Amino acid sequence: MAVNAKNISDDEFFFGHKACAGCGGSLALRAALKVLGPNAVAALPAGCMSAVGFNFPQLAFANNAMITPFAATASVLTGIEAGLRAQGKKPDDCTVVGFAGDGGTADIGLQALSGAIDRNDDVLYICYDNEAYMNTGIQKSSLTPFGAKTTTTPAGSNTRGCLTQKKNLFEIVAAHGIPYAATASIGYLNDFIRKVERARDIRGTRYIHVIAPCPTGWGCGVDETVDIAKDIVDTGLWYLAEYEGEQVSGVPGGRFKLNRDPKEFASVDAYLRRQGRFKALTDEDAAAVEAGRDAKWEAMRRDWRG
Amino acid sequence: MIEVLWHGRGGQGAFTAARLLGAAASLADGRHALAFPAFGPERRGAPIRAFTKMADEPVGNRSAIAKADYVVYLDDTLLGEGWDGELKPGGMVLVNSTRTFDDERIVALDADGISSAVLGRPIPNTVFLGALAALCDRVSIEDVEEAIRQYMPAKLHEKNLAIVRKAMEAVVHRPEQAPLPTCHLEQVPLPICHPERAQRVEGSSASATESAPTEPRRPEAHIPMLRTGALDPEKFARSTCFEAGYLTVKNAGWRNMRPVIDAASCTGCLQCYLLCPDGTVFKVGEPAAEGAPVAIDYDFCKGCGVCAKACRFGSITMIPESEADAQPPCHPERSTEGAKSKDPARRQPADQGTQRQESEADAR
Amino acid sequence: MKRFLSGDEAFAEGVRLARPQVVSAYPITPQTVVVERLSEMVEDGSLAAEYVHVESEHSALSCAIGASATGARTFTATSSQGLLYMAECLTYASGGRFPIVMMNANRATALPWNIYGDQRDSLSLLDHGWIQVYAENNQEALDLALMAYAVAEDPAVRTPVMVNLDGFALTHTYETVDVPAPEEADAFLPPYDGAGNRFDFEHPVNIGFSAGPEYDRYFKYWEHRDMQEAAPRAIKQAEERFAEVFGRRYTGMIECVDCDDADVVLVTLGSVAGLVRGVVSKLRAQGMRVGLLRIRYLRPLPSVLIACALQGAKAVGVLEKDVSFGAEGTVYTNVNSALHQVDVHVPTYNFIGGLGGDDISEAQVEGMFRVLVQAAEGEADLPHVTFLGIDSPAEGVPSACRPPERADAAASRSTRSRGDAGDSRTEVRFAPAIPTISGTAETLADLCGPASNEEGGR
Repeated sequence: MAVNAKNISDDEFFFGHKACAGCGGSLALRAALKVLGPNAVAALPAGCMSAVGFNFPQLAFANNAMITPFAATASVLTGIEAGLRAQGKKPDDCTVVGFAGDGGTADIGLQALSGAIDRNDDVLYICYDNEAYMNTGIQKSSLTPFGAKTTTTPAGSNTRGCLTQKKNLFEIVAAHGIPYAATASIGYLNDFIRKVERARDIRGTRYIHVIAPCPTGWGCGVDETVDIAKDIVDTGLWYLAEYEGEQVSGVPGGRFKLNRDPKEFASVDAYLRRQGRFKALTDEDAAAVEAGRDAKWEAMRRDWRG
Repeated sequence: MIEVLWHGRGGQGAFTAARLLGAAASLADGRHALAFPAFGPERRGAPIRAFTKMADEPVGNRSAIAKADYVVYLDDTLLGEGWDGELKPGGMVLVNSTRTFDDERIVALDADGISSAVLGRPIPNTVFLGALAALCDRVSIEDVEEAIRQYMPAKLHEKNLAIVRKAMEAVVHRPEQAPLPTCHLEQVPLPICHPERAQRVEGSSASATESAPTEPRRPEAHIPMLRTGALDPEKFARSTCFEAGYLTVKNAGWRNMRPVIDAASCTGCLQCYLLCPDGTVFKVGEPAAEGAPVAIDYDFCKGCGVCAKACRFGSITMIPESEADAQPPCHPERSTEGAKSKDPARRQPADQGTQRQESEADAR
Repeated sequence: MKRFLSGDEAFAEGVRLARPQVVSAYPITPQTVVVERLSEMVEDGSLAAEYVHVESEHSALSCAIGASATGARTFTATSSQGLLYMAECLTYASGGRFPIVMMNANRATALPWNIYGDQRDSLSLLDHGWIQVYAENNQEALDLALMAYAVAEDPAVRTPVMVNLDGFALTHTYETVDVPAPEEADAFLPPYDGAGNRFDFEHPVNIGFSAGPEYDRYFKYWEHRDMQEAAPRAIKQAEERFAEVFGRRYTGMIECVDCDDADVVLVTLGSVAGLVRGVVSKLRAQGMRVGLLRIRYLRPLPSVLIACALQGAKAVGVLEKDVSFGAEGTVYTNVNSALHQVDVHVPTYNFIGGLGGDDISEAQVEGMFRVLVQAAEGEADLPHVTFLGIDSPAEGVPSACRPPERADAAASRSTRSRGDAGDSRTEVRFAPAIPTISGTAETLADLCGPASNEEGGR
């Protein structure tokens, strides 16, 4: 039975933490752990969620959980899974799950993630993407979108924030031939929950990339987190999709699936303008962002709907 | 040495003010200052402290200030029991408040009002630079202005210069302490700003409401729990392995807006429960006759307002903590009525078009 | 069972006997053979472990940490740059008190890139919270694989152990070793439990949290105290039990050879101790009162044992394959600190050699003893730090038994071709000696001024 607000577990495995008010990442963790249940073992690298969740003696995870070196989320997950399996101690309903931010995943942790997927270790890796290094105070990562102001891509008289495009990590992960990968957003939390549930029940490496806005870093109200995470999907600047590897789909080379294909997009301009981080963008920049979106969607609609 | 202790919430600019004050106080030759924040894991909204030390010689002591000549509160919800323990003899408290206080050591200043009048929104930090220039011989208004010009972005100069001037005037021409209505600090069980102590004090007030017989309770579940008791280093410090879900402090001290549920209009759609980033909205197992099917754990709610925004029925209202406190006890069902009338602008009736969750149908 | 094995192979045999449940390692010369052998053992079923093909050393140790956090016995191995690449994880392992055992094949660190043996890699990481032990030969290496787990997993210790084998000199050198029977090994090493420092589904735990300024000191204090107090006890117990089960006895944290009445003692560690041992025997036969102090465990530092062993000497040399640039050899620093702590005042001299796989010859060791004797008798003004092959007076001491060097060997050890390049194809110009503080009153006064503290004590 699909998990929803009515039947989702009353358990709160991530509670009492020190995340900012309105933190999107903490909602992603909370929801995922509720789906995965008490026997999930979580590993988190240096980053916001470990910084706010593991402050001895204030320990905010009710389940087994540990901190990892920054670059090592995936390899610690591998070790946990191998250790439990080697000892025959892994409960049937145990998901070994990692939660790492965009920097911890797409930058410093990418090598270890690639290694784990290559080995097809039986772990679930969830990237909560808030589009910059928020733990250290909003610095650019390779998942920071074009035009976003961060403290290392300042908007000044010479440049207007981040000059690079957001790395396409979902497809990089899929290109490994991973059994299951998905994109999600906390703005569509039921979709995210469904994907966590799906991933929970697949063996091998699974990857979910969930957009989790950071009001502090994005420059929006603390009450807007969920709304803006919905907006980014409605504008088409993020998308809800799944990749099922050959093991799961039976299709050679695997299969992409677009979960949501809006007939009409919400305004990109309005989405950008509601956030402080895009303040310096010109109308031309905004148009370029929109054009990039259109090109991406053309490809996705062509290739991912089959 | 003159020492200034700043209390604020993450994001209010307490450290910026501490830094500007230090800059102002060390502009002249032979004048020295240090400014630094208290570093901690707490995030935006959490109570934080910052420090400014000003002297005629280089300041070598970089430890936090325990007792200060001036203690500044950027948020009056942070001013509570034990406040005078942070004052040196003859010291003074400056607080951002429209209230008056029955203690001559406390100077209240409507910093939100002063800054809003200039900036269009309340950013109270620089107001206190003007106030300190008026009260403290160590810093002149000219030095404060120069510090603003040197250390704030150019586009902020004009407005902040206006703010400090207005603040200085407000302090110089402040009325004699009004006798009524006074606010007896002893009756405000809010925290002083050492985060841990603060939240414990806050917690003790919250626990009073917990004892109310009608207080909704969480269903039995796995959840981190508040613990008490001594920790023995010889036991805990010999590994980094400790009981999961072990909490020692609450987060309530972070909150300056409180979500309040209107049981009458609540449909039990559970979106507030589903979307709370902190897991503080919970399903009530057997709601009382007039009670809502959901309730809020105010010990840990940070007041982000995601729940209020997610509510399509306008059943959750965010009210200022100061108002919530002014109408004890803060039982959600009882305070709702009053809250609604207080600040209708904050009710933000939900826009059905943008608020609908994509697969809410699943949820019903 | 007697077998003729390389150090890597012998160590792999030891690991098999220890029955780790998770092995994660990344290949690097000269460690590679260990992971190849372990892979084969897993493949043929003689080692019931998960072998994880990690993509880096950083992941190798991270994976071991994750596995150890489940209560599994874990093993990894590396060398040189690989050790440095995982350096960040070393403190996670030690701070988390995960009893991981790692073999490190001691190898030079870049640049210049060099795959040969010296000890700069492990010695540069002495302060990362791991117990560090140095093997002299392949038998000891194998035996240490077992004893390392016994020490690391002792509930009072709970500290990872790095077993160091000199690259090539041990890892790739074959000799006869006795490989114990699995039943004996099982009798010696019980399974690892990990209770109290592992995930628990009945009573969940959070592992590896952060601790702010008000708590951190307690964790560091106990990490230090348990290593300093509990580890030596555990080492002693492990060696006693090892002797009971296998009949081979080790000498504790240090080994003293003829130190009791020695006028001069050479302190060293690792495989070169075997060479020094032979020279001591030879010089003793010639009537010279010389001794060898072999440091087996450098962390925890056996300060009192070192100082007591050296207190009767008139001069002490410290021979090591390492230099802490801009200072002196790291082992030398540690030995001096040990002497100072126990208030033993013996002149000490540092011989730095074997860098980048450079050979340390018997003639050089003899030369070291001879200049130490001269220094002890006040006949030589010996610099405190000298580099073998460059500026060491030890090589100026005539030696009857210095073997003639072949051209190829000389060429591969280019800096040593000074003076006797002979048939070397590579001409290396004389390298000037590094000016050092001589320790005389005049120079100290010149350097430090009248108010300075006495620095010539060592």
